[in-house]
Amino acid sequence: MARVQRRDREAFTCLLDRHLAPLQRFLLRLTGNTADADEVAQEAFLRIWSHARRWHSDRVRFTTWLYRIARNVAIDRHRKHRETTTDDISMIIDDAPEPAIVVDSERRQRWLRNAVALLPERQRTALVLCHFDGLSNQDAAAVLEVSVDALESLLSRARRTLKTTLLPLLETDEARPCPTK
Amino acid sequence: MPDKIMTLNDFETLLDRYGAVLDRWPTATAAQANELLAASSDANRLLARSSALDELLDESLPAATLTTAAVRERILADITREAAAPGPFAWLLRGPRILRPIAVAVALIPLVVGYAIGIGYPPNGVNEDLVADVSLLAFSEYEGMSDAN
Repeated sequence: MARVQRRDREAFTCLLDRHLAPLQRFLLRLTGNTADADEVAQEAFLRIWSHARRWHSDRVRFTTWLYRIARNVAIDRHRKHRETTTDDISMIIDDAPEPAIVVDSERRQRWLRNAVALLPERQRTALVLCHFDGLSNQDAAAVLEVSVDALESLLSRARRTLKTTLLPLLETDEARPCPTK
Repeated sequence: MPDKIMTLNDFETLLDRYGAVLDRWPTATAAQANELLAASSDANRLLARSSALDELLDESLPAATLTTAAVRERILADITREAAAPGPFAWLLRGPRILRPIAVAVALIPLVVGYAIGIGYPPNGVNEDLVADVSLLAFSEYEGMSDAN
């Protein structure tokens, strides 16, 4: 990163090769689609290149800084997007899933994705960082710039909401016979 | 939660906080949770539900192919374009390093000339001679009219 701060393109390429794919995966889970994830990842890395001098190794880890920037870009993008379109996602999730959703894997997955997408942004980010990306609660708290207690509270609320929203699916899954090994 | 027996409520709160994988829990807390699991079927039921939620979350992942190579190329192209695009004062820095102070001095000439012109003007205030000349011109016609009346 010190070399990137001196505008070393080769070093920046190494950084890109190491961090781009994991960042895309994080953003894909956060935004729910590849196009948004790609554009946010691109913008985040361009900001890293432009503002490399603002990073101080003694203050924050590079990955934490990168995820923080990417999250901010995603939030900005979502705000702009919301100004121009109307989100109809709540209509999809408001009703309990029809029985068909339980068995139709594609519809079931879409329904699950919408349930996660409907969480408030901070709860969703906390869940993505900890559950999907496997960050420790401490690292996730650093990305979200909150205390570990606050992060754990976000996680609790997210999981409680999902347990309620996904209750019909949870109950169906619990009722299923265990697969024999 | 040291020195305290974990209740089902505590366990449920901790499941919401850390998820169903006990390996990710703080070591001491996980040990207490395991004790509770060994003794309580309700605790096992809570853990099973939490695991089911984790599985549903995994199932919710968008099935998409990452386009890493394409995004990588776009980023590198952007920074190459940015490096190639000259800034507004880039021309000052072109040419041999020894000539750069001269280029900066040339760029400052309009500023210096403007300052010199500003200094050369008389200070603000009323120029008495000018006022007298303007008054003379303005009232000469009026005086002529009153003479006629």
